[in-house]
Order: sequence, then C-alpha cells, then structure tokens
Amino acid sequence: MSTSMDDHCPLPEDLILFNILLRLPVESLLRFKCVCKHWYALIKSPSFIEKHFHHKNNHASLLICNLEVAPKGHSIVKSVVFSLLPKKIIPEKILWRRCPPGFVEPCIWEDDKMIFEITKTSQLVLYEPTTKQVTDLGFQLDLSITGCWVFNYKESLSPIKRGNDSQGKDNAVEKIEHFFDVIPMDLNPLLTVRKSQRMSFLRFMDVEKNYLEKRLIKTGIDGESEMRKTLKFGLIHGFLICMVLNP
Amino acid sequence: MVKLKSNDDKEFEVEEAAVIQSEMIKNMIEDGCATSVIPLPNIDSKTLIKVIEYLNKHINMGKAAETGEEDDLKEFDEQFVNMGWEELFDVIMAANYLNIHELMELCCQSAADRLKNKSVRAVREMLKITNDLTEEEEQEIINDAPWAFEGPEIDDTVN
Repeated sequence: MSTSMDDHCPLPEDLILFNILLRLPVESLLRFKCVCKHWYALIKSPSFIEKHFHHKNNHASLLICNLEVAPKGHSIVKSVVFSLLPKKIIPEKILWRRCPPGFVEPCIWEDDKMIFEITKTSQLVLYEPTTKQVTDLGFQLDLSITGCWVFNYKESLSPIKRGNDSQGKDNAVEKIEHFFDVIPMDLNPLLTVRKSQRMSFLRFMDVEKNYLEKRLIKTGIDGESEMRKTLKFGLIHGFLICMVLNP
Repeated sequence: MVKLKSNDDKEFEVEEAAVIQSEMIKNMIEDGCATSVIPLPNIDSKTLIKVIEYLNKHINMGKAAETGEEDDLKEFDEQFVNMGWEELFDVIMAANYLNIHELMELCCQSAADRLKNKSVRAVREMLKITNDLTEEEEQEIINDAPWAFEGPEIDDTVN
C-alpha cells in the first residue's frame, strides 16, 4: 500500500462503504457497529437496513430461515421464525418465484417449505411446493400487530383438509409467543418443545435484554452419539434471527 | 477507438466495444459527446489502466459462455481483485463514476469478502479507522449481540 493513506480512513466516500457493507452478513454487521461512530450510524440507518435486506449477496434471508435443528428426514420439532415486517422488505424475487397461486406473501421459507398468510382470513398455513400440500398451523394472525412471532410446530403436522376440520392434538402448535422489538424478560422459556425420542433437551438457556442463546443437545440416531448444536438468536432489523451453528 | 484521458493527462485508446461497458461513456457516445478525447478528471492513470484491463478482458462477456471461457474469466477476476485496499477503493470509485456495474459488483464483493470474518480491531487497523466510541458505547453494542463477537471464525489478522 502506498503512503498516501497512512493517516486516514481510505474509504473515500460513504457510497463505497455503503456498497461494501451491503454485502456483509448480519453477524458481521452486528460486530462492525463497533468499528466507529460513523459505521454504527450507517449500519443502523433505515435506508441501509432496507437496502441490506434486499441485497442478494449478504445471506440476510438465510439467517432468518435456516432453521433446521435436525438432519433432513429426521426433524421432529422445528422452530420457525417469521416476521410481520412491512411487505416491502420481503424479498421480491422469492415472492415472485415461489408463491403458489391463491396465496400471498410467504412469511418464511425454508429449503422446501414456506408459510403463507392467506389474506382474507389471516390464517397461517405451511405450503410444501414438492407435494403441494397445505398444512394449517392453527393460528390466526392479528394483523394489527407488527413484530416477530416464534412458535414451534411438529414435522408430522397433517395436511389440512378443509374448513373447520378439527386438528388432532398432536398437530396443534403448542405455544406461541409474540415478540415486540424487545423480548420481554418475563417470558422464560419463550419456547416450549415437546419431548420426543430424539429431542432430549431444548430450551432457552439464557434470556437477556434482546438476545437469546440456547443449546440443543440431541441424541444421535444410534442412541449414543450426542449431537450438539447451538442455536443463536438475535434481533436485528426487527427480525428475530435464528441461526443453527454446527459444533 | 475511443480516447480516454486520465487526470494526470495521459491518454489511452480503447476499443468502443470494450468501453461501452461503461454506461456513462456509452451514453456520451450515443449522445454524440465523445467525438475527441473523453477527459476523466476523477481517475488517475494507474487506476484507469486497471479499469481498461478489466474492460478489455470482459469485452465479449456474452460470448464467454458459448466458448467455454467462463473459467478463464473467473480466474481473471480473482487475480484482478488481488490488490491493496487503496487500489481497490480507487477502482471502486472509478467503476462507480464510469458506471460499470459488473466491475463495481466484483470489487465491492471482494472488499466484503475480505472484511466478513474480521474482528473489529482488525477492520480498524486494515482501514486505518480511529475508534471514536467510548468504552461504554462499545460495551453496549457488544451486549446487544455478544454472539456476533465470539466464535472460531473471527479473524484478528490484518492481511
């Protein structure tokens, strides 16, 4: 590097900094808020937040939806996080590409599943493009509330039949909590999870002001090996973010 | 051929097919404003040489897919962005000014990839940024998301 930049920040203009930060994942941005006041202000600015969410290369959406807590085919309980943020920050590409006819606005998507809110009834359903099955999550949204919701559902949720068919107990969403911008201190544990053969332990270890971390200790299929994964939760941009970190 | 002049008064001849990857120059040519030399008061010759190198290599982007030269181009791109921070920022500035979308993408993504896993300290040192946050402010930010500050992937080196 030449000497001309030794004594000052070489980022010549906000525009460039802006363009570079756009491409960073949420985790890096949370860390880089600490770099200096200027970066802090930029990362927190609403215009940056919106642009960042739309940007294709920063894995912002992956952070929200990569929620599988067990290997494919063995998932029993999953945590699903979705957001009721304004429509404009749901990535248009995904909306356009994957939204099946008759549904609008997927709130969350995974590899092959999405939850759609059906406009008229504000009923939440799970749609699997591969099988084209629709599963009712048995929960009505209060559309007047903006915020994040977290709930668990069972993999074995049976597809909805029609209308008012009652859900078997096993198929019901067990517990739903609603988060506003700050997770309330008094809601602990925030998620409850049914015990099952494979899932021995899943609860929040720690609830602090606005982040959560929990550990998932899962007994392996052979009954011996333990698989440990850390689920990390954080709030950014009004989303509750869940990440599954491999050990 | 189109003639470009850097801010240190050096002239470069570039094929029109290459130079029109710059939206700005393309517009100038279309509007008939590019009859003689195009002065680029924001770009020095060193940076302009890099940009022209990129434009010449990417001249037939569409054809690359057909002729199987995609890998070649990818390799070129990887080599191309292998430069110091200052040089990289100069090229980004130039790409932005000339409105060369692909080049802007390439360089910004490269910068982001370099920064992604760096520690706060490393970022400050690499980019020569003075920390103007108080210790309390810093601690508050860390407390907001402590998990973003820990983990084996975080790289404290400055290269």
